[in-house]
Amino acid sequence: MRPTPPALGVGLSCASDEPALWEAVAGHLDYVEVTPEHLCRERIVGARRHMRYAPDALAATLARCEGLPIVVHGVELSIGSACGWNAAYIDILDQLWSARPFAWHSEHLGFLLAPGDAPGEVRYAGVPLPLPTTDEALDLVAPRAAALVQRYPVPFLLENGVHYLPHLPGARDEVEFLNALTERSGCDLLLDLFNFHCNAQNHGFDALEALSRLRLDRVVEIHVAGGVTHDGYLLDAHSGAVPAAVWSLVDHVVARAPRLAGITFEILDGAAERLGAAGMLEQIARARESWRLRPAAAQEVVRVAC
Amino acid sequence: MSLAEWQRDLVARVTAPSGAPPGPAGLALTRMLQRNWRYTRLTHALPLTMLALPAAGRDELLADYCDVCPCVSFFPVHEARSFAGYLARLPTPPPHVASIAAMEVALIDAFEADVFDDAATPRPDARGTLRLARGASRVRFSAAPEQVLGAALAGRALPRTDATDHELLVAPGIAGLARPPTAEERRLLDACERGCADELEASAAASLLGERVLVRVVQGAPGDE
Repeated sequence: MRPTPPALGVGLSCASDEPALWEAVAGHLDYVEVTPEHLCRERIVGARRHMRYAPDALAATLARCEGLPIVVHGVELSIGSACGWNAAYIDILDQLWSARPFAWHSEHLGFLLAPGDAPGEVRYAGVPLPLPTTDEALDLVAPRAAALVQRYPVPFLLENGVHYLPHLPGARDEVEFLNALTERSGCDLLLDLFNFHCNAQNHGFDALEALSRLRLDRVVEIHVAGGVTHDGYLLDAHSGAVPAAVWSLVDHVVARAPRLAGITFEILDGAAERLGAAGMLEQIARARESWRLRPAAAQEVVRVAC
Repeated sequence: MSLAEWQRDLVARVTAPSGAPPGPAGLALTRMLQRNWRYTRLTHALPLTMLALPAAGRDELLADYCDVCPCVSFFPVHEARSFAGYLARLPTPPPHVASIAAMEVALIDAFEADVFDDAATPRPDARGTLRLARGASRVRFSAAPEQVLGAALAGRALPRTDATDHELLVAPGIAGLARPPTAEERRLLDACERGCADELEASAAASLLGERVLVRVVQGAPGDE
């Protein structure tokens, strides 16, 4: 049986260590999303990767989050690599769980590591790449996701990615692949609605129609972010305020996702400093407006009224 | 095509050199994003080096670097080491830039030696070969290091090269991580590099062992490199 996530509320994913920024926003957050790799150093010996937490980095981050739950969002697992995932990520995840248990953890559905030309050689893509929606990709990722579901007594979520490549192989579309993956593995979804919006814009599909087919009962977390347009493509850049079209999708999903536990605003550290405390608080307040639309919140209002 | 073959092919196309056929618009964009990530990692790990690169030819130099040196990791340190190595191998590098990059990488190495617990504990009483410790570096400059680094930091023109051989030692045990070596220490370090350090002055060796610049390696002893 899948673990039930605690309904946390509104969170922030930001690597900025600007004290004034955190001081301004911390009181308005319900949780903080942490990316463990940002706190680590890596050494590569042959084909093996090793990661270690940098002195004080983990302690400083956990101190910053004191009194708030944390959730984990990894970037380096490469769960979809045909040449094997990055086991070093699991090591640091285990260490973080021992230091401070998290409410849930998530990773990107895609790959970074690929087989090289020589046997045993591994190449690093340098940018997250999407998976085809084939049976082979599903057969590869589902057992890996299932293993992560079992590893800790908290939900494991996979996040839908953004990509700019035309014509990925596979008979399924992205929604059908995500539904099949959650069904096969028992994992839940981190629905990045900016990514979803980007893919809809760039690849020309109707986002609301696609969302109507997605298993929203598997959505535990929503990501929102801002981006930029380049050469006619909308890019996922985590560069500022969330567009109105994305907030509309958020409102649509929140009202229909019974297990939703958090809405996380993602922003790069430099962009957060440019947006400033007031701009950050505006985004967090808008996310809270959406959070109030969830079905459970409506029931709470009815209970209070009675 | 199997998933492994498809992934190998896609990564080859995304990391293809600058002159490769552009392919569909989405692929060209993905290639550009991949390169932008690499430049971002360099700016993060080697801020002074990137400031010191001359504007003329900068874009071409970075593009050539990406063409000939593969990206190996999300972690900026690997990109930094790779770029420093690339600069050091250039037949006619821009003045001082390779030294600045070597200095920034040396500082990262000194920091990471403690992260990975591999700056070996000095054992001054042991008999064995003296070697530069992991996490320690000798960085050579062709002008006074403080002038080169100061100018890079301030965004000023870099000083003219001079005929003197300037050097900084960088190691995790040095207060402030870096200092110039004494003449005696330079002789000792040169002897270590030649593999004939037995002739050394004991006092210089003790100081460099204490600052984790050198490590004494005893063949076959537990915990040795």
